[in-house]
Amino acid sequence: MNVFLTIAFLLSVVFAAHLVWWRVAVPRRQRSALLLLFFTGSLTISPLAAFTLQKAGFAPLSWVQWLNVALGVLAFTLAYVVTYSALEADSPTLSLIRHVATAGSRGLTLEDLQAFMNERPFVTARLSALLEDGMLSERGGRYLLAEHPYTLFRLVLFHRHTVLGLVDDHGG
Amino acid sequence: MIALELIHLAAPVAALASMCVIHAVWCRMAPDAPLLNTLAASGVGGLAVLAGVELAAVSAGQPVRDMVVAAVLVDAPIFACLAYGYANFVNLGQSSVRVRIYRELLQMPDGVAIETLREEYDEHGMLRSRLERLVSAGDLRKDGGGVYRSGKSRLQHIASVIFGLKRFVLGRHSEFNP
Repeated sequence: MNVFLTIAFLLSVVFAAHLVWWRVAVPRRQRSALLLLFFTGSLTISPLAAFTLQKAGFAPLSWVQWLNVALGVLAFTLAYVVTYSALEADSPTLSLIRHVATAGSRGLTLEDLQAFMNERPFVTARLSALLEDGMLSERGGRYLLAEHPYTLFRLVLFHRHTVLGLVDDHGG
Repeated sequence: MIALELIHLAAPVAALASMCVIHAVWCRMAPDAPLLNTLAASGVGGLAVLAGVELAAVSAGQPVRDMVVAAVLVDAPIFACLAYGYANFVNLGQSSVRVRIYRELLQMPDGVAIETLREEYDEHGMLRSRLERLVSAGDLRKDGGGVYRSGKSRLQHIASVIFGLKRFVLGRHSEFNP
């Protein structure tokens, strides 16, 4: 129970700070700002969490329980940052699913769905984002990979090809 | 006491590790299986491991009630977050346009003509491949007349949460309709 209350306290305070910050001015590098806020914010206010719970009559946490709190904060933060990517940029799949669901039993034809997607140029938006983030460069009418570590993309592809053994366009 | 705390610390990590191993084995045995289905099944396997580890806490002397409280309030939610993160990581390799473009340009040191890339990643072509994937996984149904209707509700629930959060955090429904 102590572990749960500590995690809940830390995440509540940090999440509230996130909402206030985003209402004032959305940072340019949103995901990096989120990671910084959640990790350093939780670390900074953990003594306050410990003090508050002790005042409320709960026993202090052991070092193992603090590790458990850290794991909980880490897991939630990573899950939220992953979800935030879907908040920042629309998921074509989820947009399609939602649009078909709103049509109910009437359903939608391919033409209806194409018209829907015409209003949502996902590919163009992604290419623009890659250019803005400095991951692609444009030269002489061509797109080239820019100087960038692409660590996440490399990990994703390594895992897909080497660990899962999936070739491209496989896995449904 | 420390032993019980270590069991609860290890439980979601052991469950995630099991999920990753089950998923890797399953993908190698059935590479054409829908990704969401393999992830869901591997997640269930991870949950089974989580339950097994929690029972170990009871064997080590923890009262069942205390074990259930720890499992429900802490261990299972942590595993759910870790499993969700893993599923999204895997799905990036499947669905992300950015990862696909990166993969393609990696093999082309001289780059690719802008028009060629735009033709290849044609919005309509990508729509068709997404619809095929969704129908194959059962998330959409297509009748003989070519009309698409909702299938399984799992992605609809996810979509409801995501679009609700968009509204709450960012104050808008879509990046295309600010």
